[in-house]
Amino acid sequence: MIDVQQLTKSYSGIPAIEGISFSIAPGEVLGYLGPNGAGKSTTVKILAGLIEAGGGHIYLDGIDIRRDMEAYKRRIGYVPEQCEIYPHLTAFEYMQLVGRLHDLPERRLADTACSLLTQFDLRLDMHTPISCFSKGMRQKVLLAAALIHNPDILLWDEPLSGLDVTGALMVRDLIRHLSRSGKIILYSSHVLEVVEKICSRVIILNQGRIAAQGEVSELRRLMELPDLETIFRELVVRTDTEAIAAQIATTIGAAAGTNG
Amino acid sequence: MSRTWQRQWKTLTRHFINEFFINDYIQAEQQMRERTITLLIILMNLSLVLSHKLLLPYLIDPRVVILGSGWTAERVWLEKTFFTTISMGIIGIITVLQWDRIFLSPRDHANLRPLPVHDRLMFLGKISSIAFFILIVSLAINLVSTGVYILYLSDPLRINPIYFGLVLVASHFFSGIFTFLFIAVVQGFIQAFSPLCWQRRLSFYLQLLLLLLFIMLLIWFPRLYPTLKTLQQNNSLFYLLFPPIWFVGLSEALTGNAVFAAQAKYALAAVLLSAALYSLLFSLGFNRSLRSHDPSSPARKGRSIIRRSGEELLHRMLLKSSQERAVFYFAGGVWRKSRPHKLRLGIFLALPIAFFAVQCLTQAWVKNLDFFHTPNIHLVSATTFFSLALVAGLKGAASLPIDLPANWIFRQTEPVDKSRIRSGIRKAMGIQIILPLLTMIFFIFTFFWGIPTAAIHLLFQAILIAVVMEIAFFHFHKIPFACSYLPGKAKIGVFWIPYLLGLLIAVSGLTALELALLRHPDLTPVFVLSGLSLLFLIRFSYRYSGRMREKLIFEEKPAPVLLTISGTLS
Repeated sequence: MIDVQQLTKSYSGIPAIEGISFSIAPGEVLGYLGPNGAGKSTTVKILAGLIEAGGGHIYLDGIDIRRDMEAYKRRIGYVPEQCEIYPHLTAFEYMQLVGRLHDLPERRLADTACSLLTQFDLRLDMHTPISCFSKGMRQKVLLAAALIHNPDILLWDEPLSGLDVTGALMVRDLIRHLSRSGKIILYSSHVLEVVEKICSRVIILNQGRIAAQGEVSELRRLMELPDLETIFRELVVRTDTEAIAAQIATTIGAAAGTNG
Repeated sequence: MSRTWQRQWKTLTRHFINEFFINDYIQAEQQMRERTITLLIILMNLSLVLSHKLLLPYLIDPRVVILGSGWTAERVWLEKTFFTTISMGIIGIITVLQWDRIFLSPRDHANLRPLPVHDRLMFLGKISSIAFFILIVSLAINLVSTGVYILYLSDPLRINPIYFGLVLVASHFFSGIFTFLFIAVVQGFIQAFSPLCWQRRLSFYLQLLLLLLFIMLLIWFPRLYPTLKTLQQNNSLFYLLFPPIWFVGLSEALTGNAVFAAQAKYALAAVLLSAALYSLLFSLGFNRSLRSHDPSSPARKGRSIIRRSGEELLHRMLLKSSQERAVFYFAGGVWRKSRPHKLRLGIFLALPIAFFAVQCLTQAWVKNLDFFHTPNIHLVSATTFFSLALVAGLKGAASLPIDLPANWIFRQTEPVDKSRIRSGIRKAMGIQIILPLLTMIFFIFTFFWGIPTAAIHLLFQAILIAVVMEIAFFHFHKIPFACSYLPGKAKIGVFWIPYLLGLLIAVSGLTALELALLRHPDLTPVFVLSGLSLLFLIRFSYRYSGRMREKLIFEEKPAPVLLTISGTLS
């Protein structure tokens, strides 16, 4: 069980997240939602040990993760939102780098890397430099690398970014499998339909604070709204999207008139 | 150290070493091998030629042979200092070019921090990779010369040649480590203490300044080195504070020469102090990035009224077509913001600037400040060298793509007539880079020569740049920074002698021409007219070559290896 309590973080005095608290039990998939700049990636980065929190605590099985960060990191599999990956390495070399730093035995590492890359449909490209990969292929490398050491906790920030339909469907099914096998999964995304389908519980973040949290069905019942998208609109979207869309159409028309 | 730690340390060290060889300048693994081997061979050859030239007198001097004590410190410390200085200068330049690898890069932070690797291990991996990297470079520079030292100078009766060789290698290695760490400490201070908003800019200018200083050292030291003996006898401050002498002292002290004991102590203290400072700054920088890792950049204010009015004026007067404006602002943005592009131009300009600075310093030393007050071959040739390097740097930087996948926007909007694109390129380079630099040159020379002579100098350089630009960009049928890049086309490693000769001939010829013009200013209209006619001729031949209507190049194809009779590639 991972337990986050009163997490805060500011950048140059401007709060990115304030008083974020939640917990994720083994086998649970927590959907982490919010508009751009709400603080989703900041939370995930703090959980991944990439940045330090300004305040608050993270407990794993009741123990503060700061007591032994290496032990904690050994148990997480992180997929970043932005595809920061060494472009000069091949996919296989990248898997080797990650596996070795996780101290996996060489034989097992090579086998697992090969199998995972093959399963992610990168068998023919596994010895090609990542610099030649498309965005979707890079994302697959990141996903495979996040799984190579069989982590207990998955911190996935927009994992479907750039994936084709087959890849996206496969990852969705994979998350269900992993959740059934007792993994703790934090799934941060903008794509409401996917979150609604695969997450057992959701947190909706707005301006660095939790706007709502609970099971999707519970939120629907409490707010008397039909689906997650409508709940999201109700809680987070402060602008009239219809009106803005109409304004955009008018602007384009005006610009076309000026040109023509 | 546990087994896991050992394995992680090895993996990280190997990873960081590879990063030293694959970076912004060397992009693919195959290039890495080729370029590394070429560089190492060039360094070895340079070392062989230099050491042979410096030490040959000892071998052929009959007094040395008779006495059998050729390697003694009284005689060779000067040559050793020369060699150590060159070695430190080269390692300095290489380190400055490895700027982003000195500490952990943002990519290292993003990839390695979520992994179960202790911060101390990252430091250990980095420091081991630095030691290994310096060992390779230092061996490439010094191994051959060490062999020459042993062959020409060592006296087997007095000292074991293998020990003698090992001492030389070790002292050169420590001098290399000190050079690397010295640069690292300078960068580390910026990373650890400068305001975040200034960090990138400060770091870039510092990188350029250090590059310039090391090039100046390499150009200037051969002129200074004959005076070292006098400096030693006068116990001058320079002699005491010049780091290469500390490391020569280290090798002398280790081979039993007590005269240099103090210098040997300085050398060890310098290495230890720089290593301690590096560790401290690594830790401070690491913790700082952990606290203030902010992916977003601060919001900018809108354009000011002055800027907007200036732009409108520019559009009305010079950038009349939208394609011209598109290329102009795109290129301007790259020049302002892209570090690799600015650095590439900076590398091209560093050599003439260093050459100019050394010439000024030396001549001012010998002939006092009168040297600056009359147009002379040194000042004119330095400016000409600068102008030629500027055009070469602009071409080199323009060929480097900023972000290839983003060039679809240019592909999609490519006009039928490319003249506007070409005009945009010309204006972007002219207004954003060349004009400010020429203005600066004009003000400097006005101060020394007065307005009329400085104006002729400016006019000559402006026309020279315009003509050379037209020639250099004649086959550049691309949008700058938007085409794929095939490195190694110029084959500098193979043809550097003809290139150097060509440059020397061009600089001397143009300098002679400009000096003649400065002596006979009444000929200026004839020169301007000839220059403009040449410019017109080049543009005319381009326009009628039919290339204006050809599609722009976005993907550069490698030259065919072999062309068969039927014209297909093999």
